[in-house]
Amino acid sequence: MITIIRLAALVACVGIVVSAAPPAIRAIGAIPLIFVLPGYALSLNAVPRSADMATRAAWTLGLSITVSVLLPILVGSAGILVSPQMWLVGLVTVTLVGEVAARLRPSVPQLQLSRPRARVPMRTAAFLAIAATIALGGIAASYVDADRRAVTTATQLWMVPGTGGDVRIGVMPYGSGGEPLRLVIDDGSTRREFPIAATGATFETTWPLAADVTVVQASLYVGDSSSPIREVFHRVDP
Amino acid sequence: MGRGIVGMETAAAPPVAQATPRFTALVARLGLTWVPGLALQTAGAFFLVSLANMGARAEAPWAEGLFWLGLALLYVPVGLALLAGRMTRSEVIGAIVILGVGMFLCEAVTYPLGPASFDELLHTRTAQDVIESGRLFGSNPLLPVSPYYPGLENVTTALRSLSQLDLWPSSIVVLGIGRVLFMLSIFLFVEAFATSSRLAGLAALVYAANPRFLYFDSQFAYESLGLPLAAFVLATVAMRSRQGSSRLELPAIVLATLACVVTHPVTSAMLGAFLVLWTVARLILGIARRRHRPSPSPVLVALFAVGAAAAWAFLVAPPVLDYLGPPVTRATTQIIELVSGEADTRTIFQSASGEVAPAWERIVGLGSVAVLTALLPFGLLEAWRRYRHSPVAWVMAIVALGYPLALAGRLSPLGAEIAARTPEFLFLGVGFCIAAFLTRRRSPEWRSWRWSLLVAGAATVVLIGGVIVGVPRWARLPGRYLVSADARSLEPNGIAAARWARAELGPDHRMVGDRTNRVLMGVYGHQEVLLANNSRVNLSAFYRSFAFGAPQRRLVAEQRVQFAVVDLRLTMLLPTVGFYFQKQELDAGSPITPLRAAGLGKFDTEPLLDRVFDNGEIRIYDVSSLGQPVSP
Repeated sequence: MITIIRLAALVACVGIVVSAAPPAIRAIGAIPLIFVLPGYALSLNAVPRSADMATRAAWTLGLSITVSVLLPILVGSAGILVSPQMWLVGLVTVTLVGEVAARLRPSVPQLQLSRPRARVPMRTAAFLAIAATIALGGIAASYVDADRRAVTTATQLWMVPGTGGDVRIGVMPYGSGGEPLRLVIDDGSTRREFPIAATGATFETTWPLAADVTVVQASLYVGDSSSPIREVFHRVDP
Repeated sequence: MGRGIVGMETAAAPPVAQATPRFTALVARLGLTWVPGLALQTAGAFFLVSLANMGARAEAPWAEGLFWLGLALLYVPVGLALLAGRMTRSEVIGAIVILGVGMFLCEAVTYPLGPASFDELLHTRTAQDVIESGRLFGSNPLLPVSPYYPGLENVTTALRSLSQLDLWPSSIVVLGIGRVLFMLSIFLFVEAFATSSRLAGLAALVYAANPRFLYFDSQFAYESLGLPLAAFVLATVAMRSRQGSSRLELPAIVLATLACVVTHPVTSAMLGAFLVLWTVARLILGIARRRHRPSPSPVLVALFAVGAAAAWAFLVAPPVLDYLGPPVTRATTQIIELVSGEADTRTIFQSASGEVAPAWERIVGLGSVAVLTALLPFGLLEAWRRYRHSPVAWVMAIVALGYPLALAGRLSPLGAEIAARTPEFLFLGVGFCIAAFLTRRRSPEWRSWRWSLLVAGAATVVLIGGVIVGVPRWARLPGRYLVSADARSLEPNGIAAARWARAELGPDHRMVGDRTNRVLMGVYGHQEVLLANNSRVNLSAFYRSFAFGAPQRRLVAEQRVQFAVVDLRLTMLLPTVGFYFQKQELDAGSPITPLRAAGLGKFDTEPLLDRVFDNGEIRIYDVSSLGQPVSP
């Protein structure tokens, strides 16, 4: 009966993982598939079924991690690439082999000890739930705070060689205090100015390299300022 | 085994004093066991640490105080509860697992958005490569040895592939589960030979106070998974034959040993050494007593661990010999010179950039060492008295004796680096010995509030002092940008520049830069950054010279450098870790000098170069033409 429950869990985990659910949901299936089921199935062959919960948990986690560490090395040596399919097939195979071996090898020495029924009193569960909520709150608060501060503020200006005798020039404005930007491109014979929104989408243009051009320079200005805040240049090989 | 152990505990371990009656009565009246109460308290303490991190990001003056308070509240109550001795075996296990996970989360929320420490970024590159190419053992320009020890990356890739979570949250889950395994394994290992769950719990508690546990061994780096696997192997070997065994038990242990070997070179070497010592101790004790002792034999696992680690290093991962060999050789030389009085000593509590720790930190840091050093002889005596017939207890005592030796190593510059990498191993023995002392037969009355206060104070000093000794001030909490300061140097503009490089220049260009931008370009830009750990690549001279001379042009030509990253902020401050570009700057013998603006200005005056990117702080130059032969 317990074997059936474990196999049902395996099927459920595989079902969740191969579904089109969001990653957070798929992780709910992937975590037991990676960290519990293979190790538990293998541990049935290595330690007595009467082992206490801590010993069983350690064997389960330890062997599961062992499987995930060694599996890609094993299949990689056979020329198989590491991919989601490889993981799915590999982990399911290891789990099933462990289960079948445990069924076929019932001779693992057993200690006849009564096993306590796992019961969690209501108050204990409530305390643990509050603790988990507080911990999750701490994680969420840290994440939101760090995310709020992780703002790119430095406007980017670039100039890279193009494919057809030209250069590509781009601006990614990450904010300049609300003031508009001006992009000035000058190759010695031609000079053009482009207005750039202070924030928003990337601005890109191409600039043809005329035969007599030696240097193309692009400068970015804030408002009417005469001092550029960014400068890039491309020197043409003579 | 659990019941067997508890039974043995009654015989071997002394009866312990009662917990504070009032508190016990309160716990009973609430219908609770220890675990939910400790979980609640740990969650509260963790929340304080989270608030401290938020405060530190805003540069609030109270952040550091709140951080220490949170850490103390996380650690001390668990210690007092374990000392009280009223916990069942399950509760002890629950308490130490909660403590371990709580301390792991404290690291995880310091920089919750992505890999932040230097080592995390190096291993992130390896994991990215495995995901993108589907192949192991590729090349990692940031840490060439990393792809040859892909254990952590393999497990993380499994979760990433199956769940489609991003790499970073996948790594957090893997490390969190690894931490659970680690705490369980330490407990089961010590419990198996000490036959006391209380002693095992206290040993795990003392272990958690080691300077590397809070940060270094919680980060996304191979040691963070290597240690749990090594502890798991030790626990399974120690538990063998205790409750009957299967013919498949030994193969399972061997597989776990192999997993440890392919995960982290140093940990697997330490595991092999430990198992060999265990085998030798067992042999000596067996011969001395002329009788068979029913302790499990580690000999087969020891032989396999040593053979597999050596075979992997020599046959599969030769770069590890270049990676680990020179530092060990240099440290040994320095320690010999130190003993003979020929070497310069290192000033402790002073960072490479000259920042001196405040007086209270120096006092608590030294106090932490003093408490542990003072307790160690008593612990060794107690271990001798109660466990001298146990081979593994002998090995644990030998490991513990390494702690004072490592302290001596901290007085030389490179010895300090080596010594700083040993606590995660030495504290296994230190934890056992001190736990043996704390659970001795004539224990003090722990219910006395004076003793509780003393123990709480000592535990606070040990934990906080350990963090002070093991983690530089600037690395404990987030804060404003610093030059060459690992996580404190990683900021959104630098990351955006690296992402731009990947999008606009394409991946895998040969690139040079300072320590921080190199790693950003390697990870977020996926560039083939130049490895700067050997004397042939003198990046410091490349950037510091006021003009591009023959050595700089030769470097570009020989190393096929295409782009150079110039970070203008480097001229603002001294490097926090002691160097801007490569460690060879430290070996030069003279104090590091600030980077001159003229050194960076040459990139604009050199007529052959293009400036392809500018964000005001970071500029990227196309320097490939520097390496071309000059036409006559």
